[in-house]
Amino acid sequence: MIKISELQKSYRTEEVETIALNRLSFEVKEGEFVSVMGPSGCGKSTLLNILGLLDDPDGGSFLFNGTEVAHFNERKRADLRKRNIGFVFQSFNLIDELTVFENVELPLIYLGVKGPERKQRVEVVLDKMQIMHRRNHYPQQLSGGQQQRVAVARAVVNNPKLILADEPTGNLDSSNGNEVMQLLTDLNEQGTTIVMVTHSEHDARYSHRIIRMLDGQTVTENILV
Amino acid sequence: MNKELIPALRSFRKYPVFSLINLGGLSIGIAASFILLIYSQREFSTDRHFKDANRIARIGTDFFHMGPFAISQPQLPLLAKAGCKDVENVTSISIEDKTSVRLSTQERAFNDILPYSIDAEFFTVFSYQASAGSIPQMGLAPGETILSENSAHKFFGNTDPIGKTLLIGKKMTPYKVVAVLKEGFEKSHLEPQLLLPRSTAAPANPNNWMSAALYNYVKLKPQGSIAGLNAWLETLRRKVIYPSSGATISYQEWTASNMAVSFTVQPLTSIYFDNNAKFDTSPGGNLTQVRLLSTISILLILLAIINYINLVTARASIRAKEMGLKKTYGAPRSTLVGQLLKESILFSLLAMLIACGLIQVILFLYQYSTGAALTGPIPFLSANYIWLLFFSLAVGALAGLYPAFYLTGLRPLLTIRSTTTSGMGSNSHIRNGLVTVQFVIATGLVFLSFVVYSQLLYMKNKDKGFQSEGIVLVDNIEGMKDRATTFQQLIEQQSQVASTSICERIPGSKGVAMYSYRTAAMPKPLSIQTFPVDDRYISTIGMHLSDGRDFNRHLASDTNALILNESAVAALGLFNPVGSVINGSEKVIGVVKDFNYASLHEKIGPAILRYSTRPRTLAIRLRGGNTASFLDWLGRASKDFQTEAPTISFLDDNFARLAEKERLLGQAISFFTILAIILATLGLIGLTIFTIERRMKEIGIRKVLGATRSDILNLISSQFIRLAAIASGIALPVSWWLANRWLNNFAYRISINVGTFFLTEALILLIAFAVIGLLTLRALAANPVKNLRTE
Repeated sequence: MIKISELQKSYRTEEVETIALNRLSFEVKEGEFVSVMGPSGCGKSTLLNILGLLDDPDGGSFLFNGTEVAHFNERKRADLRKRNIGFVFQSFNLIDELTVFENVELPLIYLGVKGPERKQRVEVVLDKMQIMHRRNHYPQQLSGGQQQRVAVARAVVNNPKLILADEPTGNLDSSNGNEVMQLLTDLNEQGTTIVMVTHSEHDARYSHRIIRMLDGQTVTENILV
Repeated sequence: MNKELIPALRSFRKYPVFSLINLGGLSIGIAASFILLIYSQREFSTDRHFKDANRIARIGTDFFHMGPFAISQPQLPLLAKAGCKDVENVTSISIEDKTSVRLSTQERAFNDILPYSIDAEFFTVFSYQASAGSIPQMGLAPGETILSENSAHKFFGNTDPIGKTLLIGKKMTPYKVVAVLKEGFEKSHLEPQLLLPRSTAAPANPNNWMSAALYNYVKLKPQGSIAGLNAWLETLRRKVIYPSSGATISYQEWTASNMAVSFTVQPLTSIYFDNNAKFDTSPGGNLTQVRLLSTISILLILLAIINYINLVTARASIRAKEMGLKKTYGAPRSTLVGQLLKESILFSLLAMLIACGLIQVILFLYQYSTGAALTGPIPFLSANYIWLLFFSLAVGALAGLYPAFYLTGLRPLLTIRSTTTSGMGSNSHIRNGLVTVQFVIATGLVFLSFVVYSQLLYMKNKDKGFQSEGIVLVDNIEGMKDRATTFQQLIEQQSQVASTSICERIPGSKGVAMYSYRTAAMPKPLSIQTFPVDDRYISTIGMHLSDGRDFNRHLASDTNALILNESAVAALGLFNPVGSVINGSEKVIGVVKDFNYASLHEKIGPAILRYSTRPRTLAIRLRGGNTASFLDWLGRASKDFQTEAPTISFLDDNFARLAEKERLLGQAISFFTILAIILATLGLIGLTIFTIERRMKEIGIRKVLGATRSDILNLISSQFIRLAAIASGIALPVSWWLANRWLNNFAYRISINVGTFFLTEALILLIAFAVIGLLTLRALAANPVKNLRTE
């Protein structure tokens, strides 16, 4: 599903050039659950941003389902993103002014799904995430675990082929963390490909494979399953 | 530096764009509204600077119910002083034609100088002061003159004029300059350029009450009253004027008849705005304009204050945390309110310093764009600037009040923990309310500007019943006497000239001529506006004959012929006008379509053309082409026929002068509407930047979830557009009502159509969309991922 080769990305300030990705190459097959680990600043988040089509690489190739997408323009990237990719962030990134239902509904609105269908799809996913009873609450009225469940619900509501998770349990206690990891595992078992950036060895053990990064490069790959 | 103010200054540095927008808005608001306050104050206090202004009044007359004249009879002053117990003193001014002034026989003349001829009492009634020389309290001696500062500068530059001689008029009579009148910031309906002595010999015919020539002013005794003066004038009318009129009807009938003479007493302090009198010394003020601009001044400062409140409370989360912490450490609320008030006052004083410069810039821009000075230069370091200081202090306190109480009223725990403004809901409601008020003001002013401009355009283009374009007028050609016809023939030989006409009166001119007309069927005569003209008038002016024929100089009978306009036909009750006989022997030979001869405020009234070849004005219709060189030639040629240069003007200008007040009103309202729009736009820019900053994370999330640019644009703009729509719902009906009230002053007016509403709404929405769109697109140019990192 994902094949990147020789991917490069660097950030420049006036004085320093920081290489975030240094000719990085790897592949993720459809249905895989891959963890990306490494110390802070090793390029994990940059990688996730590029995989999520939120950022451009400076060089190299990125094949998504066999299509070269590295140099897609903003409009094409947005279109590909909203149809195929779901995001789960460490800080949940829910919109404070919208209710749980409205937050989850948002990707469907941008996909142009009609009202009644939207309602039904949101309800199905909220039910699945066991958060239906909180549908009319605002994010700040929920616990961290509940908020992340909403975020996961929002990530899967448009049935994406790929979920990118950036430290999904980073802001959660262990029991809530485990719950979220179980949700991701269930999704993966139902066929969704997952790439997760994490600092937690515990969380990484839920995945099939761990890619360890240092200074913008892969150092090792551990196959867990 | 006061420690309390340091956070404010740091915040200024930390958010420079925000702070500059706020400071800029407040400066513009203070400057513009201060100018308008000074302007209104100056207009309202016109003539009040004269000592005992409330005891001075002008006596005007009304002949034959023609409407008030500013001038009255020359015998009135002596009678009033001797006979009216309320009167302390009387002075009369004679203002005749413009004249020329020379420094020596060899030097070129300064033309178009309007002298006021004054009597011995002038300075006892009007407390003028001298900036050079000294005021002769007992009046000017023969051969003495006094100049205004402006004229002194014009004639003598920077040299001292006192003791110098001026040669005045075509006879070049020498006059010695004895004083220069001090010109302050104050305004007066009297605008003397040059004062000359006037002999106060008794009028030749003291029983002639039908002729008025002097501007007569009385100063009442401290215990005297206008009512007392009016009572005396009424007695004069009954006991002296009525008997001398030779009327055979009763006094009551006479007062209602077309032979009546009456008086109008105007207190000095109301002459400026109450300026319907004919032959007034100055065009006078426009009360509508002053009231409107006073209102606009309040609206402008309101806009600036709202900007301040909105921009300060928009950043409440930042300042509220500081306030919360200070409260936690025991600062009483009053201290914090004091701190925030000090901040806003300091801010306002800073804005005042900028406003001092801006005032000059705005005055300059106003004069540059409208061609008319609004107030004249506001003297620097004058008392006005003390008012500016107080005004700015008040604005600072007013603007700071709500933010101070709001920020210090939040619970400390909430504000310290909060990283966003969520939970500060009531604040955003108030802010939305204030933004709506701003939209209401901007929408209302734009609508009114459009209406005023449409009316001006209508007045300019309205069919006046003749073709006023391309007609040049040569006025005051009486001096040519018999040579006028030769002059006319010479002009007609020019290739640029299509036709010419000699006449005594032109539509739109200042002069008044009313004659009495009566048909056999009428019980009493009717006074009707009359135009003595030659037989080429109708074709030259471009009037339309709807019945009968034009005058013919070869028909001796036409000296007794009349041509009526349609209103005159109706007023005289004629069914078959051509051939009718009026006044026993005057025959109607034609009818012209109604034509405007006065301002469009007045409905077209009856008017009659009668044959005359007496020269006063020569009207020239041009063919077009090389007008400038023709006018040049005309100026030179006319001097060969008459020593006093005739006045050359365009007929269109006559009508433009009649609409001068409306033109100035239109320019004033649009100028300050633009300023109001700038202020509201600044506020909108600030709030949009703030909204985008606050919603940056949300924008990022939405973009990640697939929102397009237009989705985001829609998100940010919808809240403002909703407020703009609510504002229009309030502003448009109110301003429509106001505009209609103003339009009702015109006999010929536009009716406000849907287009004006549409145009106003379109302009406001366009500005709002442009501001919000540009700022949103700028924000969107940043990577959405970065937005997610702003936490």
